[in-house]
Amino acid sequence: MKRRRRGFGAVGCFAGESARRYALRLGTIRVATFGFAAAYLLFRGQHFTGVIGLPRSAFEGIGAAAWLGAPMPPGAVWGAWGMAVCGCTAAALGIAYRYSGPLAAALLTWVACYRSSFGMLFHTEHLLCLHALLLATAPAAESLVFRGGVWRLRSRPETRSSRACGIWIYGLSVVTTITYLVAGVAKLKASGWSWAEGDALAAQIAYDALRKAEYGRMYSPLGPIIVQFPWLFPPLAFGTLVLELGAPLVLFHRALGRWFARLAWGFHFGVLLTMFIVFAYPLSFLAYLSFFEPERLLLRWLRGGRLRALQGRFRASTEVSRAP
Amino acid sequence: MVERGRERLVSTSSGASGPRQGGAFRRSGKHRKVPVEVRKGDAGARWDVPRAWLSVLLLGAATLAPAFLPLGADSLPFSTYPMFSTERTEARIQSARVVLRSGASLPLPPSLLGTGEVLQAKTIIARALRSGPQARTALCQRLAEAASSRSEFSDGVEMQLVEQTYEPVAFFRTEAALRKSKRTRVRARCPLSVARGDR
Repeated sequence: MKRRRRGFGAVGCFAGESARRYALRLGTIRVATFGFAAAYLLFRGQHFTGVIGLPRSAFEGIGAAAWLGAPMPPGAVWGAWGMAVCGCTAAALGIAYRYSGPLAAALLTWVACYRSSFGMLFHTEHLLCLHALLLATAPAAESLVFRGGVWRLRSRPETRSSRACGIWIYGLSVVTTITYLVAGVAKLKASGWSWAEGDALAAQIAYDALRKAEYGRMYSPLGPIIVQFPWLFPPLAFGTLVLELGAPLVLFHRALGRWFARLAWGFHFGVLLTMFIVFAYPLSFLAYLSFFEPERLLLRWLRGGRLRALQGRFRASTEVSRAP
Repeated sequence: MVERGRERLVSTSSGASGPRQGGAFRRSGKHRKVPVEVRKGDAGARWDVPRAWLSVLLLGAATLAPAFLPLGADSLPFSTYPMFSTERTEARIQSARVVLRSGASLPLPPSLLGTGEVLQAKTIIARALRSGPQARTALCQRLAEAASSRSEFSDGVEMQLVEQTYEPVAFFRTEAALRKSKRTRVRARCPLSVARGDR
Protein backbone atom coordinates (compact mmCIF):
# COMPACT_ATOMS: atom_id res chain seq x y z
CA MET A 1 0.00 0.00 0.00
CA LYS A 2 1.32 3.40 -0.93
CA ARG A 3 0.18 6.71 0.41
CA ARG A 4 -1.46 9.04 -2.05
CA ARG A 5 0.57 12.04 -3.04
CA ARG A 6 -0.42 15.03 -0.96
CA GLY A 7 0.76 17.86 -3.23
CA PHE A 8 -1.86 20.49 -4.12
CA GLY A 9 -4.19 18.91 -1.60
CA ALA A 10 -6.45 21.93 -1.33
CA VAL A 11 -8.02 21.29 -4.67
CA GLY A 12 -7.02 17.72 -5.26
CA CYS A 13 -4.83 18.63 -8.19
CA PHE A 14 -2.69 15.59 -9.03
CA ALA A 15 -4.11 13.85 -5.98
CA GLY A 16 -6.02 11.01 -7.49
CA GLU A 17 -8.86 12.62 -9.38
CA SER A 18 -9.79 12.27 -13.00
CA ALA A 19 -8.42 15.07 -15.12
CA ARG A 20 -11.72 15.16 -16.97
CA ARG A 21 -13.27 16.01 -13.66
CA TYR A 22 -11.05 19.10 -13.50
CA ALA A 23 -12.36 20.25 -16.86
CA LEU A 24 -15.94 19.95 -15.63
CA ARG A 25 -15.05 21.62 -12.33
CA LEU A 26 -13.37 24.51 -14.08
CA GLY A 27 -16.38 24.80 -16.37
CA THR A 28 -18.71 24.91 -13.38
CA ILE A 29 -16.56 27.58 -11.69
CA ARG A 30 -16.50 29.56 -14.94
CA VAL A 31 -20.30 29.51 -15.16
CA ALA A 32 -20.60 30.53 -11.50
CA THR A 33 -17.99 33.31 -11.62
CA PHE A 34 -18.95 34.96 -14.90
CA GLY A 35 -22.63 34.34 -14.19
CA PHE A 36 -22.24 36.11 -10.87
CA ALA A 37 -20.29 38.92 -12.54
CA ALA A 38 -23.05 39.44 -15.12
CA ALA A 39 -25.76 39.46 -12.45
CA TYR A 40 -23.69 41.76 -10.20
CA LEU A 41 -23.10 44.26 -13.01
CA LEU A 42 -26.76 44.14 -13.96
CA PHE A 43 -28.23 44.53 -10.49
CA ARG A 44 -25.71 47.18 -9.45
CA GLY A 45 -25.90 48.90 -12.81
CA GLN A 46 -27.15 52.08 -11.18
CA HIS A 47 -23.93 52.29 -9.16
CA PHE A 48 -21.67 51.53 -12.13
CA THR A 49 -23.34 54.05 -14.43
CA GLY A 50 -24.24 56.51 -11.65
CA VAL A 51 -20.67 57.83 -11.69
CA ILE A 52 -21.75 59.87 -14.72
CA GLY A 53 -23.38 62.33 -12.32
CA LEU A 54 -20.31 62.77 -10.13
CA PRO A 55 -18.28 65.97 -10.35
CA ARG A 56 -15.27 66.04 -12.64
CA SER A 57 -13.10 67.17 -9.71
CA ALA A 58 -13.76 63.89 -7.92
CA PHE A 59 -12.15 61.86 -10.71
CA GLU A 60 -8.76 60.28 -10.19
CA GLY A 61 -8.08 57.25 -12.41
CA ILE A 62 -7.42 53.98 -10.61
CA GLY A 63 -5.85 50.78 -11.94
CA ALA A 64 -6.76 50.20 -15.58
CA ALA A 65 -8.33 53.67 -15.69
CA ALA A 66 -5.21 55.38 -14.31
CA TRP A 67 -4.25 56.72 -17.75
CA LEU A 68 -7.53 58.62 -18.08
CA GLY A 69 -7.05 62.32 -17.39
CA ALA A 70 -10.76 63.08 -17.16
CA PRO A 71 -14.07 61.21 -16.86
CA MET A 72 -15.37 59.47 -19.96
CA PRO A 73 -18.45 60.78 -21.78
CA PRO A 74 -21.73 59.24 -20.54
CA GLY A 75 -22.17 57.18 -23.72
CA ALA A 76 -18.80 55.48 -23.20
CA VAL A 77 -19.67 54.66 -19.57
CA TRP A 78 -23.00 53.11 -20.58
CA GLY A 79 -21.32 51.31 -23.50
CA ALA A 80 -18.56 49.80 -21.37
CA TRP A 81 -21.06 48.68 -18.75
CA GLY A 82 -23.39 47.16 -21.36
CA MET A 83 -20.53 45.37 -23.08
CA ALA A 84 -19.28 44.06 -19.73
CA VAL A 85 -22.73 42.60 -18.96
CA CYS A 86 -22.94 40.99 -22.41
CA GLY A 87 -19.33 39.75 -22.26
CA CYS A 88 -19.76 38.17 -18.83
CA THR A 89 -23.01 36.52 -19.94
CA ALA A 90 -21.34 35.12 -23.05
CA ALA A 91 -18.38 33.87 -21.00
CA ALA A 92 -20.72 32.23 -18.48
CA LEU A 93 -22.57 30.47 -21.27
CA GLY A 94 -19.30 29.45 -22.92
CA ILE A 95 -20.09 31.22 -26.20
CA ALA A 96 -16.84 31.76 -28.13
CA TYR A 97 -15.08 31.58 -24.78
CA ARG A 98 -11.62 31.96 -26.26
CA TYR A 99 -12.59 35.54 -27.05
CA SER A 100 -15.52 36.24 -24.73
CA GLY A 101 -13.58 35.12 -21.62
CA PRO A 102 -10.67 37.58 -21.91
CA LEU A 103 -13.02 40.31 -23.17
CA ALA A 104 -15.40 39.81 -20.23
CA ALA A 105 -12.57 39.84 -17.69
CA ALA A 106 -11.03 42.97 -19.22
CA LEU A 107 -14.37 44.81 -19.35
CA LEU A 108 -15.33 43.75 -15.83
CA THR A 109 -11.98 45.03 -14.54
CA TRP A 110 -12.36 48.23 -16.55
CA VAL A 111 -15.83 49.12 -15.24
CA ALA A 112 -14.78 48.23 -11.69
CA CYS A 113 -11.68 50.45 -12.00
CA TYR A 114 -13.68 53.29 -13.53
CA ARG A 115 -16.30 53.14 -10.79
CA SER A 116 -13.54 53.21 -8.16
CA SER A 117 -11.95 56.27 -9.76
CA PHE A 118 -14.30 58.71 -8.02
CA GLY A 119 -12.85 58.85 -4.54
CA MET A 120 -13.68 55.42 -3.19
CA LEU A 121 -11.97 52.13 -3.95
CA PHE A 122 -14.51 49.33 -3.78
CA HIS A 123 -12.59 46.44 -2.24
CA THR A 124 -15.64 44.27 -2.67
CA GLU A 125 -14.80 43.77 -6.36
CA HIS A 126 -11.11 42.87 -6.31
CA LEU A 127 -11.47 39.12 -5.87
CA LEU A 128 -14.14 38.86 -8.55
CA CYS A 129 -11.88 40.69 -11.03
CA LEU A 130 -8.88 38.53 -10.12
CA HIS A 131 -10.83 35.30 -10.57
CA ALA A 132 -12.27 36.51 -13.87
CA LEU A 133 -8.78 37.44 -15.10
CA LEU A 134 -7.38 34.04 -14.22
CA LEU A 135 -10.35 32.17 -15.70
CA ALA A 136 -9.96 34.20 -18.88
CA THR A 137 -6.58 32.57 -19.50
CA ALA A 138 -7.96 29.04 -19.01
CA PRO A 139 -9.69 26.66 -21.42
CA ALA A 140 -12.67 26.79 -19.09
CA ALA A 141 -15.39 26.07 -21.64
CA GLU A 142 -14.24 22.60 -22.65
CA SER A 143 -16.82 20.55 -20.86
CA LEU A 144 -19.82 22.69 -19.91
CA VAL A 145 -21.35 24.98 -22.52
CA PHE A 146 -24.70 26.39 -23.52
CA ARG A 147 -25.61 25.41 -27.07
CA GLY A 148 -28.91 25.36 -28.90
CA GLY A 149 -30.87 26.52 -25.88
CA VAL A 150 -29.64 23.79 -23.52
CA TRP A 151 -26.66 23.22 -21.31
CA ARG A 152 -24.40 20.52 -22.69
CA LEU A 153 -21.83 18.47 -20.93
CA ARG A 154 -19.08 17.30 -23.18
CA SER A 155 -17.14 14.16 -22.52
CA ARG A 156 -13.86 14.03 -24.32
CA PRO A 157 -10.79 11.88 -24.06
CA GLU A 158 -8.42 12.97 -21.37
CA THR A 159 -6.17 15.66 -22.79
CA ARG A 160 -3.24 17.71 -21.66
CA SER A 161 -5.66 20.60 -21.69
CA SER A 162 -8.00 18.97 -19.19
CA ARG A 163 -5.07 18.10 -16.94
CA ALA A 164 -4.03 21.76 -16.98
CA CYS A 165 -7.51 22.64 -15.69
CA GLY A 166 -6.44 21.32 -12.28
CA ILE A 167 -3.63 23.86 -12.18
CA TRP A 168 -6.01 26.70 -12.98
CA ILE A 169 -8.42 25.58 -10.26
CA TYR A 170 -5.51 25.49 -7.84
CA GLY A 171 -4.53 28.94 -9.07
CA LEU A 172 -7.93 30.32 -8.11
CA SER A 173 -7.35 29.08 -4.57
CA VAL A 174 -3.83 30.55 -4.58
CA VAL A 175 -5.10 33.98 -5.62
CA THR A 176 -7.93 33.85 -3.06
CA THR A 177 -5.59 33.06 -0.18
CA ILE A 178 -3.04 35.68 -1.26
CA THR A 179 -5.69 38.43 -1.08
CA TYR A 180 -6.36 37.48 2.54
CA LEU A 181 -2.64 37.34 3.28
CA VAL A 182 -2.12 40.84 1.86
CA ALA A 183 -5.04 42.12 3.96
CA GLY A 184 -3.40 40.61 7.06
CA VAL A 185 -0.04 42.18 6.20
CA ALA A 186 -1.78 45.57 5.79
CA LYS A 187 -3.12 45.32 9.33
CA LEU A 188 0.34 44.60 10.67
CA LYS A 189 1.81 47.48 8.68
CA ALA A 190 -0.80 49.95 9.89
CA SER A 191 -1.19 48.95 13.53
CA GLY A 192 1.41 46.27 14.22
CA TRP A 193 0.58 43.22 16.32
CA SER A 194 -1.53 45.46 18.55
CA TRP A 195 -4.27 45.03 15.92
CA ALA A 196 -4.88 41.64 17.52
CA GLU A 197 -5.88 43.39 20.76
CA GLY A 198 -9.13 44.37 19.10
CA ASP A 199 -9.21 48.14 19.69
CA ALA A 200 -8.71 48.89 16.00
CA LEU A 201 -11.56 46.55 15.05
CA ALA A 202 -13.92 48.10 17.61
CA ALA A 203 -12.99 51.60 16.41
CA GLN A 204 -13.59 50.57 12.81
CA ILE A 205 -17.07 49.25 13.57
CA ALA A 206 -17.94 52.38 15.55
CA TYR A 207 -16.52 54.67 12.86
CA ASP A 208 -18.53 52.92 10.15
CA ALA A 209 -21.77 53.42 12.09
CA LEU A 210 -20.89 57.07 12.77
CA ARG A 211 -20.20 58.05 9.19
CA LYS A 212 -23.39 56.37 7.99
CA ALA A 213 -25.36 58.20 10.67
CA GLU A 214 -23.79 61.49 9.55
CA TYR A 215 -25.17 60.90 6.06
CA GLY A 216 -28.59 59.85 7.26
CA ARG A 217 -28.00 56.29 6.18
CA MET A 218 -29.08 53.22 8.06
CA TYR A 219 -26.25 51.58 9.93
CA SER A 220 -26.14 48.17 11.53
CA PRO A 221 -27.72 48.37 14.99
CA LEU A 222 -25.50 45.46 16.00
CA GLY A 223 -22.28 47.48 15.53
CA PRO A 224 -22.86 50.09 18.25
CA ILE A 225 -24.19 47.35 20.55
CA ILE A 226 -21.18 45.07 20.37
CA VAL A 227 -18.83 48.04 20.78
CA GLN A 228 -20.17 48.17 24.35
CA PHE A 229 -18.50 44.82 25.05
CA PRO A 230 -14.73 45.34 24.80
CA TRP A 231 -13.95 41.74 25.75
CA LEU A 232 -15.46 40.54 22.45
CA PHE A 233 -12.84 42.17 20.28
CA PRO A 234 -9.49 40.57 21.20
CA PRO A 235 -10.63 37.05 20.15
CA LEU A 236 -12.36 38.39 17.02
CA ALA A 237 -9.30 40.41 16.00
CA PHE A 238 -6.88 37.62 16.79
CA GLY A 239 -8.99 35.13 14.84
CA THR A 240 -9.13 37.49 11.87
CA LEU A 241 -5.35 37.91 11.85
CA VAL A 242 -4.76 34.16 12.10
CA LEU A 243 -7.22 33.52 9.27
CA GLU A 244 -5.62 36.12 7.02
CA LEU A 245 -1.95 35.51 7.72
CA GLY A 246 -2.38 31.74 7.73
CA ALA A 247 -4.43 31.67 4.53
CA PRO A 248 -1.68 30.40 2.18
CA LEU A 249 -1.01 27.42 4.46
CA VAL A 250 -4.39 25.95 3.61
CA LEU A 251 -3.18 25.35 0.06
CA PHE A 252 -1.33 22.31 1.30
CA HIS A 253 -4.29 20.44 2.71
CA ARG A 254 -7.70 19.97 1.19
CA ALA A 255 -9.67 19.84 4.45
CA LEU A 256 -7.92 22.97 5.74
CA GLY A 257 -8.84 24.70 2.50
CA ARG A 258 -12.49 23.91 3.02
CA TRP A 259 -12.41 25.12 6.61
CA PHE A 260 -10.67 28.27 5.50
CA ALA A 261 -13.47 28.88 2.98
CA ARG A 262 -16.15 28.48 5.65
CA LEU A 263 -14.32 30.70 8.13
CA ALA A 264 -13.61 33.38 5.53
CA TRP A 265 -17.30 33.34 4.61
CA GLY A 266 -18.08 33.70 8.33
CA PHE A 267 -15.73 36.69 8.50
CA HIS A 268 -17.57 38.42 5.64
CA PHE A 269 -20.91 37.54 7.21
CA GLY A 270 -19.69 39.17 10.43
CA VAL A 271 -18.73 42.30 8.48
CA LEU A 272 -22.23 42.32 6.98
CA LEU A 273 -23.89 41.96 10.37
CA THR A 274 -21.84 44.59 12.16
CA MET A 275 -21.23 47.15 9.39
CA PHE A 276 -23.75 46.44 6.63
CA ILE A 277 -20.84 46.16 4.19
CA VAL A 278 -21.70 43.61 1.52
CA PHE A 279 -18.80 41.62 0.07
CA ALA A 280 -21.23 40.09 -2.40
CA TYR A 281 -18.87 37.69 -4.17
CA PRO A 282 -17.39 36.04 -1.05
CA LEU A 283 -20.81 36.09 0.65
CA SER A 284 -22.31 34.20 -2.28
CA PHE A 285 -19.68 31.52 -1.50
CA LEU A 286 -18.90 31.35 -5.23
CA ALA A 287 -15.49 32.87 -4.45
CA TYR A 288 -14.53 29.67 -2.64
CA LEU A 289 -15.73 27.09 -5.18
CA SER A 290 -12.16 26.17 -6.08
CA PHE A 291 -11.75 24.65 -2.61
CA PHE A 292 -14.68 22.31 -3.20
CA GLU A 293 -16.08 20.10 -5.92
CA PRO A 294 -18.96 22.13 -7.31
CA GLU A 295 -19.35 19.78 -10.28
CA ARG A 296 -20.65 17.13 -7.87
CA LEU A 297 -23.73 19.22 -7.30
CA LEU A 298 -24.22 19.44 -11.04
CA LEU A 299 -23.86 15.71 -11.47
CA ARG A 300 -26.20 15.06 -8.55
CA TRP A 301 -28.81 17.21 -10.22
CA LEU A 302 -28.28 15.25 -13.38
CA ARG A 303 -28.79 11.94 -11.66
CA GLY A 304 -31.83 13.28 -9.84
CA GLY A 305 -33.30 14.24 -13.19
CA ARG A 306 -33.95 17.77 -11.97
CA LEU A 307 -32.19 19.43 -14.83
CA ARG A 308 -33.71 17.56 -17.72
CA ALA A 309 -32.63 20.32 -20.05
CA LEU A 310 -29.08 19.20 -19.49
CA GLN A 311 -28.30 16.84 -22.27
CA GLY A 312 -25.46 14.54 -21.70
CA ARG A 313 -23.50 12.12 -23.63
CA PHE A 314 -21.42 12.54 -20.59
CA ARG A 315 -19.59 10.41 -18.17
CA ALA A 316 -17.40 12.49 -15.92
CA SER A 317 -15.23 9.55 -15.04
CA THR A 318 -15.47 5.84 -14.40
CA GLU A 319 -16.93 6.56 -10.99
CA VAL A 320 -19.93 8.53 -12.17
CA SER A 321 -22.96 6.81 -13.54
CA ARG A 322 -24.29 7.76 -16.93
CA ALA A 323 -26.40 10.88 -16.99
CA PRO A 324 -30.09 10.48 -17.84
CA MET B 1 -3.35 8.77 -10.11
CA VAL B 2 0.12 8.23 -11.48
CA GLU B 3 1.35 9.22 -14.88
CA ARG B 4 3.36 6.73 -16.84
CA GLY B 5 4.51 7.99 -20.20
CA ARG B 6 1.41 8.44 -22.29
CA GLU B 7 -0.73 6.45 -19.87
CA ARG B 8 -2.17 7.25 -16.50
CA LEU B 9 -3.32 4.92 -13.77
CA VAL B 10 -6.70 5.98 -12.44
CA SER B 11 -8.12 4.63 -9.19
CA THR B 12 -11.38 2.74 -9.70
CA SER B 13 -12.01 1.97 -6.05
CA SER B 14 -14.35 4.87 -5.36
CA GLY B 15 -17.76 3.49 -6.17
CA ALA B 16 -20.57 5.45 -7.77
CA SER B 17 -20.33 8.57 -5.67
CA GLY B 18 -17.24 9.96 -7.32
CA PRO B 19 -13.50 9.80 -6.89
CA ARG B 20 -12.08 9.12 -3.45
CA GLN B 21 -11.16 12.19 -1.48
CA GLY B 22 -9.22 10.63 1.33
CA GLY B 23 -7.39 7.47 2.33
CA ALA B 24 -4.55 5.74 0.64
CA PHE B 25 -4.21 5.30 -3.07
CA ARG B 26 -4.12 1.59 -3.75
CA ARG B 27 -1.76 0.76 -6.45
CA SER B 28 -2.49 -2.88 -7.05
CA GLY B 29 -5.66 -4.30 -8.51
CA LYS B 30 -7.81 -1.18 -8.27
CA HIS B 31 -6.74 0.94 -11.15
CA ARG B 32 -7.02 0.91 -14.89
CA LYS B 33 -4.98 2.43 -17.68
CA VAL B 34 -6.30 5.56 -19.33
CA PRO B 35 -4.62 6.86 -22.46
CA VAL B 36 -3.56 10.49 -22.35
CA GLU B 37 -4.48 12.01 -25.68
CA VAL B 38 -3.73 15.25 -27.40
CA ARG B 39 -6.84 16.28 -29.27
CA LYS B 40 -6.47 16.59 -33.01
CA GLY B 41 -6.81 20.12 -34.30
CA ASP B 42 -5.89 21.62 -30.97
CA ALA B 43 -2.20 22.17 -31.40
CA GLY B 44 -2.16 24.75 -28.61
CA ALA B 45 -3.15 22.12 -26.04
CA ARG B 46 0.47 21.05 -25.54
CA TRP B 47 1.12 24.50 -24.07
CA ASP B 48 -1.84 24.39 -21.71
CA VAL B 49 0.14 23.10 -18.72
CA PRO B 50 2.97 25.67 -18.96
CA ARG B 51 0.40 28.34 -19.79
CA ALA B 52 -1.56 27.40 -16.67
CA TRP B 53 1.51 27.62 -14.44
CA LEU B 54 2.58 30.88 -16.02
CA SER B 55 -0.89 32.43 -15.56
CA VAL B 56 -1.08 31.33 -11.93
CA LEU B 57 2.45 32.49 -11.13
CA LEU B 58 2.06 35.88 -12.80
CA LEU B 59 -1.33 36.66 -11.30
CA GLY B 60 -0.28 35.28 -7.91
CA ALA B 61 2.88 37.43 -7.89
CA ALA B 62 0.96 40.52 -8.98
CA THR B 63 -1.63 39.94 -6.24
CA LEU B 64 1.11 39.48 -3.63
CA ALA B 65 3.24 42.44 -4.77
CA PRO B 66 1.17 45.14 -2.96
CA ALA B 67 2.13 43.52 0.35
CA PHE B 68 5.61 44.99 -0.22
CA LEU B 69 4.30 48.46 -1.12
CA PRO B 70 3.12 51.30 1.15
CA LEU B 71 -0.54 51.04 2.17
CA GLY B 72 -1.34 54.13 0.14
CA ALA B 73 -0.44 52.34 -3.09
CA ASP B 74 -3.90 50.86 -3.26
CA SER B 75 -5.34 50.01 -6.65
CA LEU B 76 -7.62 47.64 -8.50
CA PRO B 77 -7.47 44.70 -9.10
CA PHE B 78 -4.19 44.56 -7.16
CA SER B 79 -4.72 46.05 -3.73
CA THR B 80 -2.95 46.59 -0.43
CA TYR B 81 -6.35 45.95 1.23
CA PRO B 82 -5.95 48.73 3.79
CA MET B 83 -9.59 48.64 4.88
CA PHE B 84 -10.10 47.92 8.59
CA SER B 85 -6.33 48.12 9.16
CA THR B 86 -5.95 51.56 10.78
CA GLU B 87 -6.89 52.21 14.38
CA ARG B 88 -9.23 55.21 14.33
CA THR B 89 -9.06 56.56 17.85
CA GLU B 90 -10.16 59.90 16.44
CA ALA B 91 -12.14 60.23 13.23
CA ARG B 92 -12.93 63.32 11.17
CA ILE B 93 -16.13 63.09 9.19
CA GLN B 94 -16.94 65.65 6.54
CA SER B 95 -20.59 65.98 5.61
CA ALA B 96 -23.24 68.37 4.38
CA ARG B 97 -26.19 69.41 6.54
CA VAL B 98 -29.31 71.43 5.96
CA VAL B 99 -30.17 73.78 8.83
CA LEU B 100 -33.93 74.14 9.37
CA ARG B 101 -35.84 77.21 10.61
CA SER B 102 -36.17 75.54 14.00
CA GLY B 103 -32.40 75.46 14.35
CA ALA B 104 -32.20 71.68 13.96
CA SER B 105 -30.22 70.21 11.10
CA LEU B 106 -30.73 67.28 8.73
CA PRO B 107 -27.98 65.29 7.03
CA LEU B 108 -27.79 65.54 3.26
CA PRO B 109 -28.09 62.06 1.69
CA PRO B 110 -25.30 60.86 -0.65
CA SER B 111 -27.78 60.72 -3.54
CA LEU B 112 -27.76 64.53 -3.71
CA LEU B 113 -24.02 64.34 -4.32
CA GLY B 114 -24.68 62.00 -7.23
CA THR B 115 -23.75 58.72 -5.56
CA GLY B 116 -25.34 56.00 -3.50
CA GLU B 117 -22.19 55.42 -1.44
CA VAL B 118 -21.48 57.17 1.85
CA LEU B 119 -17.71 56.93 1.50
CA GLN B 120 -17.77 58.33 -2.02
CA ALA B 121 -19.94 61.25 -0.86
CA LYS B 122 -17.60 61.86 2.08
CA THR B 123 -14.58 61.89 -0.25
CA ILE B 124 -16.23 64.40 -2.61
CA ILE B 125 -16.90 66.78 0.29
CA ALA B 126 -13.46 66.22 1.86
CA ARG B 127 -11.73 67.02 -1.46
CA ALA B 128 -13.75 70.19 -1.89
CA LEU B 129 -12.90 71.28 1.66
CA ARG B 130 -9.21 70.69 0.98
CA SER B 131 -9.30 72.53 -2.34
CA GLY B 132 -9.85 76.00 -0.93
CA PRO B 133 -12.64 78.54 -0.41
CA GLN B 134 -13.75 78.69 -4.04
CA ALA B 135 -14.28 74.93 -4.34
CA ARG B 136 -16.02 74.87 -0.96
CA THR B 137 -18.44 77.61 -1.93
CA ALA B 138 -19.10 76.08 -5.35
CA LEU B 139 -19.97 72.70 -3.83
CA CYS B 140 -22.08 74.32 -1.11
CA GLN B 141 -24.12 76.25 -3.68
CA ARG B 142 -24.52 73.19 -5.90
CA LEU B 143 -25.79 71.15 -2.96
CA ALA B 144 -28.08 73.98 -1.83
CA GLU B 145 -29.60 74.00 -5.30
CA ALA B 146 -30.06 70.24 -5.27
CA ALA B 147 -31.55 70.25 -1.75
CA SER B 148 -33.96 73.07 -2.50
CA SER B 149 -35.96 70.86 -4.83
CA ARG B 150 -36.48 68.18 -2.18
CA SER B 151 -39.61 68.26 -0.06
CA GLU B 152 -37.88 67.05 3.12
CA PHE B 153 -35.76 70.20 3.09
CA SER B 154 -38.64 72.60 2.38
CA ASP B 155 -38.13 74.14 5.83
CA GLY B 156 -34.39 74.51 5.32
CA VAL B 157 -32.69 77.88 5.52
CA GLU B 158 -29.01 77.12 5.17
CA MET B 159 -26.66 74.56 3.69
CA GLN B 160 -23.51 73.83 5.69
CA LEU B 161 -20.41 71.83 4.90
CA VAL B 162 -19.19 70.62 8.27
CA GLU B 163 -16.23 68.70 9.59
CA GLN B 164 -16.85 66.86 12.83
CA THR B 165 -14.29 65.11 14.97
CA TYR B 166 -15.33 62.06 16.94
CA GLU B 167 -13.85 59.45 19.18
CA PRO B 168 -15.91 56.64 17.63
CA VAL B 169 -15.70 54.01 20.38
CA ALA B 170 -16.11 56.52 23.20
CA PHE B 171 -19.09 58.00 21.35
CA PHE B 172 -21.03 54.75 21.43
CA ARG B 173 -19.92 53.85 24.94
CA THR B 174 -21.44 57.11 26.19
CA GLU B 175 -25.08 57.27 27.22
CA ALA B 176 -27.21 57.98 24.12
CA ALA B 177 -28.50 61.37 25.33
CA LEU B 178 -24.99 62.66 25.97
CA ARG B 179 -23.46 61.60 22.67
CA LYS B 180 -21.92 64.43 20.68
CA SER B 181 -18.95 65.14 18.48
CA LYS B 182 -15.71 66.22 20.09
CA ARG B 183 -15.36 69.18 17.72
CA THR B 184 -17.53 70.66 14.95
CA ARG B 185 -16.28 73.10 12.35
CA VAL B 186 -18.55 74.70 9.77
CA ARG B 187 -16.27 75.01 6.73
CA ALA B 188 -18.77 76.54 4.29
CA ARG B 189 -22.31 77.84 4.42
CA CYS B 190 -24.77 79.23 1.93
CA PRO B 191 -28.45 80.16 2.13
CA LEU B 192 -30.93 77.63 0.81
CA SER B 193 -33.60 80.21 0.09
CA VAL B 194 -31.49 81.88 -2.62
CA ALA B 195 -31.19 78.59 -4.45
CA ARG B 196 -34.95 78.12 -4.09
CA GLY B 197 -35.59 81.56 -5.54
CA ASP B 198 -37.46 82.94 -2.51
CA ARG B 199 -35.57 86.16 -2.64
